Amino acid sequence: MRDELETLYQTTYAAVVRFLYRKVWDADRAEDLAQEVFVRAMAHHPEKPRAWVFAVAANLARDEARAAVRRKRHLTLLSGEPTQRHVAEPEAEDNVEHDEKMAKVRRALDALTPRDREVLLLWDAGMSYPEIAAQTGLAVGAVGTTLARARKRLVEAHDRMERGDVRGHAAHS
Amino acid sequence: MRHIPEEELHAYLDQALSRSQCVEIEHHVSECVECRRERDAIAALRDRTTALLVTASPRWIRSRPYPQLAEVLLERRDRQRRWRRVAWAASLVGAVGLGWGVSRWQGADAVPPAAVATSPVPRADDSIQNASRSEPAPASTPSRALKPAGSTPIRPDGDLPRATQESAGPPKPVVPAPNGAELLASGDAGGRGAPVFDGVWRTVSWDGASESSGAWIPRVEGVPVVQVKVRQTPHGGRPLTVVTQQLASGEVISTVEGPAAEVASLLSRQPGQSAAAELQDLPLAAGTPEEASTSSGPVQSGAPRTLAIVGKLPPDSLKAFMLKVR
Repeated sequence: MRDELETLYQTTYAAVVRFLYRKVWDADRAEDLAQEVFVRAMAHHPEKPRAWVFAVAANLARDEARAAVRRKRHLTLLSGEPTQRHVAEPEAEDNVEHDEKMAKVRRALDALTPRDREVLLLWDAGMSYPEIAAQTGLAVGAVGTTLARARKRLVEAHDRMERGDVRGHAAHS
Repeated sequence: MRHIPEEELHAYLDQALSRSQCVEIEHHVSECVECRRERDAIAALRDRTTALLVTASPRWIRSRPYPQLAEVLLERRDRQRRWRRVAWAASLVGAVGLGWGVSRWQGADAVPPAAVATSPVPRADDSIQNASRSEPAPASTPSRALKPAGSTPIRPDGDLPRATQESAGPPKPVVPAPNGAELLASGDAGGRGAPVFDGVWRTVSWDGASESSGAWIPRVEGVPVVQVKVRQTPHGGRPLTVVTQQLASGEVISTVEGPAAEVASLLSRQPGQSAAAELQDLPLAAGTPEEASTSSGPVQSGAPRTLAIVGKLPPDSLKAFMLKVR
């Protein structure tokens, strides 16, 4: 069991971190949560560890998002001013470009419905259709439909942002 | 010719179909241009989605070695175990404390049996009962009869009320004495801090005491009277009276009034107790019984009368009670 978990950790840890990162949008927090997921897996010895790990990761991410909302509200109350999105000082040009691209993808992902987004992220993490179906409560046959819609909407939303940016730049120049 | 649905092509590209379904789709796609185009478009969409999601990934991912996770787990279990122990111990202490507190509260709340038996304002039937007690014991009575303590009322038939029997505590041996007086066999206290009596004392009712002394019987106002004892003085006149009262704390104080020499003699035989004494218009004296008896000079003359309060309380408390004597 320990070997199985160790193998799973080595093969899946990065995917779990990415899955969590796309939900919490904080690399350090995503790593912490991923480690927490595997520590819990070691404590519980689940029968289907891979599906279990992603299910727990999704739950932790949900809890984290709720906590973040609470923190944000609290900070807003404390400061008495609306919160502003923190933009880190870029160190290099490629960092800026990467951040811009990521912000667009993030916004495109935010444009999806929670179910579409969940199915898409689980698929990207390498989950099979039956596993996705088990975790999201969808029928296995509906996973393909949901995934087709999610992919299309993500790309469309991203393209809209790209076009908006181009128009914005054109208007600027 | 049936074209392949879009979601089926997605599933095909995601390798979510069975081998036979894949063969069927591949066969159809090789013949159908439209489905081939659709498949290619979906493949491009799929690749594009993957590329976008890769963009939305952390730049680097740090991971702990697996054994470190095991250490984290062990540490956490250890901490949980410690917390469980602390919680268990705390709940145990809490339960014991609660039980102790409740028992203390009940003990403090419960009215002492002696205080129930008597009241500061004696009733008419009390005097009857006490009068029956003060009658001489019949000759057939054994020399060491068992009798309840203090002024516990006795029924005319001689039986104790059931509740009183249960609450009065162990009965005390009483030695019959002349004139119906009772001699308590062992330093009868009736409570914590009650004085030690010697000589021939009569336990009387409040009214009986007033009658025998023919005057005012001093007592601390507002405190239940447990016992009134009277002793005739050698030279006659007003007797020496001791009114024992029980405080809410369970402590017992006794207000002694009588000839100064008698009072001083009684106070000097109360070891470990404090006393506050007052001699007519003399200022209040306080201290140990010995001090009280020696500080009031005229006490030894025998003529004047002294009022004193004795009990196992600090002298200041007794002084305060002295002010409440009526």
